[in-house]
Amino acid sequence: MTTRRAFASGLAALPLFPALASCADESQAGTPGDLIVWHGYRGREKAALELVAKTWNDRLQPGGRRVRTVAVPADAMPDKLSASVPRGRGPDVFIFSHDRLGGWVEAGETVEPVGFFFEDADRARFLPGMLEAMTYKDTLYALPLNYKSIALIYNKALVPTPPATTGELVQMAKGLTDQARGRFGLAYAYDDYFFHAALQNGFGGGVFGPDGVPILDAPGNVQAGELLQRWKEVDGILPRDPTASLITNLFNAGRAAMVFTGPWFLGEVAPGIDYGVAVLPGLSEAGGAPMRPWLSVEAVFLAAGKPRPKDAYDFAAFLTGAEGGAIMAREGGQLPAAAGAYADPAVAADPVVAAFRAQAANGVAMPNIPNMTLVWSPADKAIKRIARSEATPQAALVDLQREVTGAIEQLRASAGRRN
Amino acid sequence: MIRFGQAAQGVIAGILVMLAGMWFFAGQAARDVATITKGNEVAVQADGLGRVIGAARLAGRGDGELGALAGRYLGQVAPDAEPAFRIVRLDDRTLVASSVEADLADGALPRRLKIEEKPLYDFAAATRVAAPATGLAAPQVLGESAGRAAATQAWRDGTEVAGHVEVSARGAGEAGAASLMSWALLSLVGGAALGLLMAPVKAARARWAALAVVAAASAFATNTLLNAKAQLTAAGSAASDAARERVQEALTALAVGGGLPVELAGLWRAPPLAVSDDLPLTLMALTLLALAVTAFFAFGWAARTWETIKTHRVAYAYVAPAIGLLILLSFFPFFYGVILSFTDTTLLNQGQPLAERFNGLDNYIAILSDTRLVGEGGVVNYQNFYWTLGVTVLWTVTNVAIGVGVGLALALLLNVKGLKGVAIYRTLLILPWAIPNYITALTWKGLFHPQFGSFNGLIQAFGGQPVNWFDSFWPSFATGLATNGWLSFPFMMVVCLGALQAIDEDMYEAAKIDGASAWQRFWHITLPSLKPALLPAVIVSVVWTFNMFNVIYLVSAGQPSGATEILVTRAYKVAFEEYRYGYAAAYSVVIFLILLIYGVFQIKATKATEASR
Repeated sequence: MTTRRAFASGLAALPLFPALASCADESQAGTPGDLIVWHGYRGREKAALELVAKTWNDRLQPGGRRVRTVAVPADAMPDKLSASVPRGRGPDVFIFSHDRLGGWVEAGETVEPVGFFFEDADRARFLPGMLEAMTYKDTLYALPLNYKSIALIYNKALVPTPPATTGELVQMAKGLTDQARGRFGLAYAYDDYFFHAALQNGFGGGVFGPDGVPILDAPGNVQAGELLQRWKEVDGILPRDPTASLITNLFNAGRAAMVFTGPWFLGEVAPGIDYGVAVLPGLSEAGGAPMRPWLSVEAVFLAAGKPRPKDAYDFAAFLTGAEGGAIMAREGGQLPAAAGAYADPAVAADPVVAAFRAQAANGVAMPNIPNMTLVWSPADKAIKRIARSEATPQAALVDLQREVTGAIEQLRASAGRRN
Repeated sequence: MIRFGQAAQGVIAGILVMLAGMWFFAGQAARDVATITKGNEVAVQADGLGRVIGAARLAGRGDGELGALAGRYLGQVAPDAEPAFRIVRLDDRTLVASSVEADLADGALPRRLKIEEKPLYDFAAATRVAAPATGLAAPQVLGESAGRAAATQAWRDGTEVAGHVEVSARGAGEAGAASLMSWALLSLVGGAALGLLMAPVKAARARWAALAVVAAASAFATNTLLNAKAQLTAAGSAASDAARERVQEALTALAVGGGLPVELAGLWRAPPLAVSDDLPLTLMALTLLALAVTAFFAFGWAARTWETIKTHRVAYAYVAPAIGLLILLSFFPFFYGVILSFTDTTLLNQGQPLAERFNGLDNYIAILSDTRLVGEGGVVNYQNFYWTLGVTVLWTVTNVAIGVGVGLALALLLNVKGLKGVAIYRTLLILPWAIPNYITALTWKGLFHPQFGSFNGLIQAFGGQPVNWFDSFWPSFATGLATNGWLSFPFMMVVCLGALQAIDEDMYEAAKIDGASAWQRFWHITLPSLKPALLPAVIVSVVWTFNMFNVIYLVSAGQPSGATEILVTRAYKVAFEEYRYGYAAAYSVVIFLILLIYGVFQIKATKATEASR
């Protein structure tokens, strides 16, 4: 019923009815104002986006629409979008990470499908795996701009060559750890589900099965929990209660030799630390299978129901194209999803970008189905129980599976009761 | 005579309310019936067209022939309704055929979809996604506009869903609505007139008579309206069935005469017409409202209210802006929250109309009747309401005790005569209060870090074992307690200090002369004198602590596993981590009710102490 209503209300205003077709043409004929682009950027990224917008505006053809960027705090953006876009206000284009997509589609009247503009030949413009994150129920809704995932960041003074497998990692880390003096071979937010998922996915676990049913207690996830407990309790290479600020402090003080974290961390590394970025080590415990971290893809969305969506799409395509992507990478420090951006010499020469790109190749796009929002908090709780050895991984994950299944049923029950 | 005038006013006001309400709801119901009927008609026509196109493709007919075929088919099934159609194909983004004038004006068909026709493509794409593995799903009604209703159906090219067809046609008029209303109007006016004739007979009972008149007229009108609606619905069902039969005939004719084997099995059938099932309920509520309005006038309350406003109009004018703002900023969100608590609003259905989300007392029942305090294997279920309530009460009592105890002790120390540097101590002691509490909370969280926090550092410096603060209930609870104690004692100290300085020195002198000990002076002079200042402070501090979100959320964050959560943080998690807004609203209302009950008792208790003085 939800989708059906969304259709009916979304289409009622569009030239579907023969009787309406002529009126609709008139509404399209008026010149809409600037293309408004909402983004959550600050600092370098903001400047880079503004540079892309300026480049676009400078080349504007007569009759084209100028792009105007508007900074909206990222955490407030979803609320602002769902309050304004369905009522015909808000931006034409917005930049946000992909994991909200399913929720927006289900809520209706928020994001515009872009498949109409997207030709099959355009697929090659993006790194593999990126467009899958933009797709919900076989429909393409956005163009990928950049991606973030965790990788192995190491202190070159302590780790000359990064480990290729977890076996090597543990061996190296043991030598570098001195719990009593507060030195650790490895530090990362292992009790945070976002980080732990790299292990889970690596063991072949995950969140949802192919049919969207939770598989949180899958054997792979249990193995991941057991490996974490071994690292912490048996090998003793990890600090306790690993908050983000603690990890930063440890790494900057040279007390943590290796960390698993993302590109956002690089801005916080102290100037004196010579660091390197490498792909997360393969899991010796899973026959050398790679760790597969969550991939968070930032996407350029078209707001639903805006006049002249082609204008918005053209700008989105420029921003996510080779030139826009290169500017966002060079000036904004982003990891572009556009394959063509890596042809830019400055981007191609950057070893950090190369490492993260290699990492992204075996990343897993975070699920974009609405039920994922119900997983984070309980999963975090379960991982914390495992990390503290409060429960066996098996028990904690069985509880988690039950809790999430229950929450999904409750949410679905109330949403679908009258369908 | 006045009474009779008021009674008459009441009858008129009540009937007016009834009329306005019926005009609205009956009109809506009638329009609903008409819309659904029209929708059903075009839906079955679209279903037929989807089958015709599918059959034509199977028979190898080209794009050019489809338009003529569709035109002939529609002429048969809806000859008088000015039918129009569109056929859209997804993969090559093509408008295959159309009888819409605006489409034909843009060049020969088939042609590629224009940019403005993106909605057609999106719709076809969504149709393909929603299609079952074989056969066709139910056709989709798009609603109506300018007297035309439209519906769509997918069409298959071989096994694939290739696109969609759209059928629109002019539907029947809205005569139904008018007839429905005239019946209701007639019965209302008739009932009222009858009642007014009877009313003056016994002027003393006029106001009761007024209520009876309105009730009778409403009941009669309601009955008439519901009967008329039932007839309308039956007529609508018959029209839907007739439309389906015409489609069936046309398809059979194509199959037999036209040589096109159209699949007839499973031709869509409109579900039984069920529109606004809540109309009786709505009308009953409307009757109650009308009766309330009648009573308001008939019993003279309206007149009295008007008098009051007239007498104190200056005062009302002064408070009007404040009332306006309060309504906007306080009452509206509050009542919205209360309404939300009777719904099952979640992230997924918040766009639906409120009436569809209504679920009565389910949330409250779910919260209050959850008695599974101990789950499987003797593990406490920390998400249980009563566990959280218990923690909250414990949290409040211990915190207020610590706040008052420490505050009072420090105030007594600072109140010592001749103490040097009082100003400095006082400033230092007020500081914790001056720093925003979330900064304090985050600082304390750092202090309690198991490996790098100062507390464990101290414990280890003295040879103790470090405590894993957040791994079990009591240490985790203690972290919150320490933080909140730190935050709350300055307030109590300031309150006590002010009250202490107001105590008459003579009383202590007199007590000393009578040989009272220091303890006796404290117990019999200081404490009773502090009571008037301390009691209100304790009352507000209980409310603050009960809802002290920041400290719990930031310091222990409910660890382990939500055990140290208090009611407000739990409500927050339900709302913003589980996205069950209705349930969270009910949770908040329960918290409000607890505090309300507490407040009422507390005020009574305070009044009692004041009276005894």
